[in-house]
Amino acid sequence: MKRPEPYRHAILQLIFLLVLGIIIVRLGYLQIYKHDFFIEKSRSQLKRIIKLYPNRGNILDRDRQPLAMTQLSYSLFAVPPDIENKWEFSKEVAPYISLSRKELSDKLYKTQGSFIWVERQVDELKALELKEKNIKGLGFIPTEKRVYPHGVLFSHVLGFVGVDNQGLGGLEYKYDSLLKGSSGKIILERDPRGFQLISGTRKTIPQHDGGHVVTTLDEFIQFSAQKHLKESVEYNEAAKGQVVVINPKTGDVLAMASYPEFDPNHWASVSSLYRKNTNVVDVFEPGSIFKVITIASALEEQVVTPGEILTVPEVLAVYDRHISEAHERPEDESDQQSVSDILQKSLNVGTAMIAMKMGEEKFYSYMKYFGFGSRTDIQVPGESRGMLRRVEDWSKVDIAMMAFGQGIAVTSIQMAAAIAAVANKGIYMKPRIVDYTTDFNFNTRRATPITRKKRVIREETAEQVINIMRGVVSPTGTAPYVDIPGYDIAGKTGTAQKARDDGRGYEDGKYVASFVGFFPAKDAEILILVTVDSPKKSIWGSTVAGPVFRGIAKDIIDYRNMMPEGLSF
Amino acid sequence: MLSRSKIRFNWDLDWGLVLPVIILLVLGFIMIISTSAVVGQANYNDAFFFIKKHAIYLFLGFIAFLMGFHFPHSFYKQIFPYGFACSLILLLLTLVPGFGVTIGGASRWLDLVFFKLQPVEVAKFFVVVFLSMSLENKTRSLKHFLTGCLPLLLVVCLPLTLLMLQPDLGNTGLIFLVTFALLFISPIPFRHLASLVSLGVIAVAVNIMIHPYQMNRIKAFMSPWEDPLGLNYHMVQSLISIGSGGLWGLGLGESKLKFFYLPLQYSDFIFSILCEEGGFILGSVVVVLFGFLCVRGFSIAVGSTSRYAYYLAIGLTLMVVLQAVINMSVVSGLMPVTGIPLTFMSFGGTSLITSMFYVGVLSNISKESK
Repeated sequence: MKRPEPYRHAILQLIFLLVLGIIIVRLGYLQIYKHDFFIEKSRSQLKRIIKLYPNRGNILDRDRQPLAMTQLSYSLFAVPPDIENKWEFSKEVAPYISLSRKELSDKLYKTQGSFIWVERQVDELKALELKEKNIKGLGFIPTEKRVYPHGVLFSHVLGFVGVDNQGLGGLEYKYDSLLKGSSGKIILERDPRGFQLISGTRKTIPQHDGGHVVTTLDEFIQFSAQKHLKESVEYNEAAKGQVVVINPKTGDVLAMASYPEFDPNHWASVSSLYRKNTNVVDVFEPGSIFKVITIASALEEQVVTPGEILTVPEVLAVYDRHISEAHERPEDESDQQSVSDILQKSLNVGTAMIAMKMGEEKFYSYMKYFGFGSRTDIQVPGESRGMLRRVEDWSKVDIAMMAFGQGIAVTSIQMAAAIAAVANKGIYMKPRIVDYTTDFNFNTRRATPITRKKRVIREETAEQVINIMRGVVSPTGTAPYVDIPGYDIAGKTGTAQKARDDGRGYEDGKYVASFVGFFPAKDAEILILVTVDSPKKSIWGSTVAGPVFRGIAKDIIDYRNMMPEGLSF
Repeated sequence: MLSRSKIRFNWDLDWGLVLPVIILLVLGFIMIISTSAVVGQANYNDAFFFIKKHAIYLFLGFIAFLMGFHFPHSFYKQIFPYGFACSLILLLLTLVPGFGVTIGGASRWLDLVFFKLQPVEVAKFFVVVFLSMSLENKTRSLKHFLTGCLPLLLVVCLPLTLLMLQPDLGNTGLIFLVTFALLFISPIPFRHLASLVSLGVIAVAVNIMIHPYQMNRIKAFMSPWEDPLGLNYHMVQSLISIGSGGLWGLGLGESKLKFFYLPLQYSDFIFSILCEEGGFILGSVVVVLFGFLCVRGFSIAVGSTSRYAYYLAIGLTLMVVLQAVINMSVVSGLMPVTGIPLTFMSFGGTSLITSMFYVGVLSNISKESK
């Protein structure tokens, strides 16, 4: 058959082949030239990342009792556009959260967005109850809630965490990176409905749960310390108080208590002043308890011997200052006092004379040996180094003042560790509060070593000092009623004038009452340092801090079934 | 009644025509297995839901092919008045509520219980038959617009109007283009063709005014990346699918976009998934196969015994190839989105069956010419 229009026929066929050619060119452009662009588009719309959250580790006491732990809880959020009636919604939800119906509905009416937190970290039971109600517009995200089963107890040491469980204070802060672990993720390919592709790839980077921190703290001793401290601070109407209980043989901190206290479960409602760990953060002038250090140094240097008799005047003039006693000397007492008497009766003048006999350089270096002026590096954050001025900066009168604990500022933990060196026969143990850290499954341990830092004084010197300190709780000492009959207790009272915050002199009528003691004195296992700031009813270390020591000591004796001296079965 | 002894099958197949079709059918079947399983599983809880249906359509298509192959092509001249009237009635019925099945705002189907008939496929065939008959008869009167071109156009406009009411812009355009192509290769003067072009432009303009969504599709086509999750979602996903295939493709069954990113992945957008899984290589093979079909169809026309057969062969070839060209242009972003399946490959009953019937008729023309 002859074509009616051969040219047009050819043109039509050519047009078709041309169009097919254009399609091939187009495919080449899309598939070869722009391939990288499109494959990237494809991958990015397929990719879905699911974050895997790690569990936060626990903080435990020495018997592995949990002090801080995590519980499953739910964070509640609302999707305001999905809520039919915001007022009704608030009525349903409000009973389960901290907000009132009005507060919640105000919050909902104000927002423009499509996502709003209703309440973070709601208890599992409450959340499940709410979940069953199937309220439209309310969503749940499982989260972890940090809980402190002992409430106020340990609060200053443990610290607290924020809403995202980030450590904000104390051990929670110090060990945050260990406790929180590291998050993992699953990268997978999914379809637009969110399902994983049957033929898709899947890559999992597992999360690592946080490790645990095992402390040296003892739940019972902490409880006892907190209880007796609270009683004394409240009874004496004091500003604050603190207790450190330490094992002199190892430097292990068994209890670290501060008052006023706060509940780390509800930390946000408490002023930050009350949240600090005063035992390591706050500094104070130690006063008479520091005389132990002065006398120990002098005995070690053999400037004096315990029985040596000194002539101690009632008032000592040192350059432009007059140093006097806190108590007026009884009429019948002579000015001839032995070195032991000077410490047992806590004579300021006598101690100053002994220090001056030793000389500035030596006294300064002993204070350094005992750890004053530098941090103990205990594992809690915010530790102060205290204040020990360099010997070059001393005025002529400073040595006399420092001898009885004025013009030097210390932290509770520093002071406890220094006295513990005496109790431990002259060997200074580095204090520690964390025994070891471990991974989530308790498979590995990373211990904080028990560090025998140095010998500060000889054993004989330490025994001489301990012997003198036994006398403090004897009927002739400053704190006879602290004694617990049948038990070998050594101690020292302190009543220091409170230095003004601006560093100029002392506050009128304000004192820091303290007591440090340890037992059994011949082989001390427990050392307790009690400090009460600005007591009003009574100001004396023996009457304000002494009973706290005695109360805790008695509890420990009962708790540990410690035998009285000379009793054996 | 024909007695059994008078039926004599002549199996003189035109392999140059049939072989590309078989390859396309096989590729299509494989792609339907690859793409429809996920949808079948998700929507009908049966991964083989579409595959089983498609197998049935293939079988029906084969019967249609045999019918086209064995009926003499002059037969369609005789039944034309009934056939054309019938197809117009069917088109009208789609517009009658209760008969027509409306999907996505368009009433293009009649529900025949066991399958949905698309009357346009019937109408297409008779439009081609009509043009072939007319162009053969009117060889002389074609020079005059009033006696030649105009009556033809008026007749073709009948089904086109009904189609626009459905609306079905894709098939309207397809029929219009095939009509134009057939007139183009006839001895009709060029100025008359120009009037046809202006008619087409008016038709398109009216259509867009009636159906604003058509305008959106054109906007989407102009700048697909402006609204990738809204209007342009289909287009963008199709381009991502094709583009991510690369030279060699991701491998059979490895498409990612078929997992509900690309809608109609087993029908209108099957070519995109083919390009993703088989790459530029397989995509080009498909295009070239349609090229072979086109060339072979044209040479069958040239070898035919009558002008009627010549126009019929060209018309049917174009119906098959042009539909594929439009589909492939749409999915590769050369044309605005319009709902036209890929011949021989897409899932879709009526289109598959009629296309195979066309191939049968073409084979018949080829056989008669020898």
